[in-house]
Amino acid sequence: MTWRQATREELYTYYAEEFPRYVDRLPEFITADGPKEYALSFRDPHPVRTENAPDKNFIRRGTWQTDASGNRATAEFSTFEDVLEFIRHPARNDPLGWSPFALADPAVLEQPDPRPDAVYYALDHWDRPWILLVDIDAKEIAWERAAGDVSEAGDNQTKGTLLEASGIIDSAPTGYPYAFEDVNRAIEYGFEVRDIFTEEFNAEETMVVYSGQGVHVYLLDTDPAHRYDEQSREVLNDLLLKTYDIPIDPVVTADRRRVARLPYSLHADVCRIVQPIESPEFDVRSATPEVISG
Amino acid sequence: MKSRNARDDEDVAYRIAALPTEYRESHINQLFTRGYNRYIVDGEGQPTALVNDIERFGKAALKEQVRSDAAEEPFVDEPGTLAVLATLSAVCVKAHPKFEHTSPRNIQVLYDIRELYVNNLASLISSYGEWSLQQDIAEVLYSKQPSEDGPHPGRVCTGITELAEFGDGLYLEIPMASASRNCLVRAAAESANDGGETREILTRVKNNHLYVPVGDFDSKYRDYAKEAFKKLLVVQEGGLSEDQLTWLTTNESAITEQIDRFVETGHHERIWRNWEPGERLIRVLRRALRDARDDVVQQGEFHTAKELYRAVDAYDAQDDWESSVTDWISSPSGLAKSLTDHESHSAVTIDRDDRVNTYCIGRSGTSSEQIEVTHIEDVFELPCMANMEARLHEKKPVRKDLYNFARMVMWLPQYRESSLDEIVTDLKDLFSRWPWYDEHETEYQVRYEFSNTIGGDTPLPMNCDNDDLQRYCIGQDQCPYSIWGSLPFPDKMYEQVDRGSTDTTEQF
Repeated sequence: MTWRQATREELYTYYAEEFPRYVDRLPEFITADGPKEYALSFRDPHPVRTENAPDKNFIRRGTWQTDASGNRATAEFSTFEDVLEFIRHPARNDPLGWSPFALADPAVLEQPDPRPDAVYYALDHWDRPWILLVDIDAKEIAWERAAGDVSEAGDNQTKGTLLEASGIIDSAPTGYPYAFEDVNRAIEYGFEVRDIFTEEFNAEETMVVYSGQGVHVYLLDTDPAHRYDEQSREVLNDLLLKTYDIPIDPVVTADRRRVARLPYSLHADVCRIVQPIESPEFDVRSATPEVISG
Repeated sequence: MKSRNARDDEDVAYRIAALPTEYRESHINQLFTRGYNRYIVDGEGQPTALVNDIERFGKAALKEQVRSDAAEEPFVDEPGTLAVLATLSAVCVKAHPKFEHTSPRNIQVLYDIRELYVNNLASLISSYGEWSLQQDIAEVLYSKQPSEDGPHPGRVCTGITELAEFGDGLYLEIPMASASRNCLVRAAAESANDGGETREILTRVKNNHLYVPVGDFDSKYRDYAKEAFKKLLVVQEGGLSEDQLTWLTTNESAITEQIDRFVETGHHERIWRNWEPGERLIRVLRRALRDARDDVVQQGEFHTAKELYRAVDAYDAQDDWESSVTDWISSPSGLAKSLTDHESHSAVTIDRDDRVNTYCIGRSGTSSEQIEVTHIEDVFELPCMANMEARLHEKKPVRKDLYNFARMVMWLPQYRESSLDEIVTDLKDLFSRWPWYDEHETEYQVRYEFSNTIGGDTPLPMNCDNDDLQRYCIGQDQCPYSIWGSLPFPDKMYEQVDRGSTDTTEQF
């Protein structure tokens, strides 16, 4: 199995044909006006309407216009179909269309219609508490493994030379800074975290999402006992890292402004569908979109 | 409904004494009123009793053993009285002429008074038996900063409990939604430079709660108590009129005299925190070299700064002032610089002949001069014993003078195998030189001391750090002798010292 980047056409086809079939499977808190923002990233920076403003390769868009006090005033998307249209044709459907900082009008450009390399939603939410997500990345696992494998090779090596020296760059998927075994290990860690959430933190609603190069583990209970603010999440981070020895990215969990990859969106760097998974035995090959496998 | 008041409600008194920063000045004054009321009998004030107790508290605070014992067994049995005695002792200390130009934060005696207050309060609280009080304190110690999500729901500390699966000991129960990093207790540092983030977390998790070892509560409370005692002291000082302050400092003499004695006998570390830095450095180095587990470093020999630093890094500081020195020495190069700065100190010699500088830390003056003891009178060659001998011609002894003296004699080689009757006869003969001598009393005292053991061990003879000796000491820096170094005590005595039963004669 080799991995490669999705082409512009594959991205368009995926969001036009395959993604709509998964919309019904989205977690219920992901609606047109639930998360406070949706966000897109582009492979090539896209111009905005104001001439001197820099081109954008990442945009965030609020789901609501707010008044001066930050309260919801007007919804930007009426239905999830509107969100979908924004994902398919961001420049044509930019909710910031009235603003000089909206994406530039497709009609005036040679590359008129940017395709999203990745689709995200905000963890901060209008209708429920800020979503708790733990990020486990295969890159970090590979890097730790490389540092352990070649620790006797001497100090002062860069990440790149260490990954090369350990053979990780050359092992499948070739050219990526991790091996498949690191992705599989990340998935195993994800289910370990889910068990910890369930057994030690009394969580009833959890979810493990394959993120393309690792996993996201969710704790979704909304009762007061699970309303962890930033300080409680820092404690959770420290416990996961130190007491349970799980290589999480601690910044993500405690940062309210974070966005997460939208389930069933495409991780374009590896052509895999981001998706909730049920078992540590999950085979990443099964996450190949039809547009690639077909 | 009338609100509850510390004057007549013990529970409120405990809460204010423990958490004064959470209460208004008027509430703290009610706590003091409760304390003062103890000195009113049948409507009459008992100022002499109050001054006596202030003196007793202030002097006791100077004794390390008393301070630490108070954590187990309260020295004062009531929170209002404790607050009054501790703050008024501190007021007396601050009024001492020697401290006229000294910032309170540099007066060691105030730290000692605070420590006695905190330890005393801790043992009172634990015997008070109201877990809700500890919970209230934990509520303050473990509360987190206000966050974007507003106040956390419910209590910070929902219980204090034992959990068999976590091993022995009590744990504070804190819901995850109320938790902050403040609740993460880490294993002890292995060295002074261990920042802490990587150390093992001792806080446990179960049922969506954190379980914080209760020992952390104690150490956090000690930190909190710095602010707490300051607040009590400020309120007390603010409430005293000029006349009351004058009355207090005129009538109090024991604390002042004890401080004077420390000044006269060169015990700077007992009264100031910032006393001469060179001397502090040398004292810590000597103790670190003495305690070094390997035989690599020794007093009187030349060593690299790295070797000396290793000994200091491994040294377990005994006092605040020692910790401030060891904390300040953060690297071999820092130590080398400090030694160079204090090269003029008589104990420091630097050898610059070699490629790497080496440093020699000498003994205090020469090593202790030896005293040959053929008769008990030979002990009076020690300047402190000579001072005691002279004073006892003028004044009756305090009991411990005689206990201490008898114990010292019993350890001398010629008396180790003697019968009790022989010792009694010789000591009676010796004591009879003093005008207050009473044969029966001396006989009783010596026999009592002979029968006294501490955990099965014979009590050690007093050493130079014994608090009761301070009244006779000429200053350890000036004295060519040391009691344990100059008298011919048997090896068995030093073995007992090594087993860690030091200072056992120092019972309060």
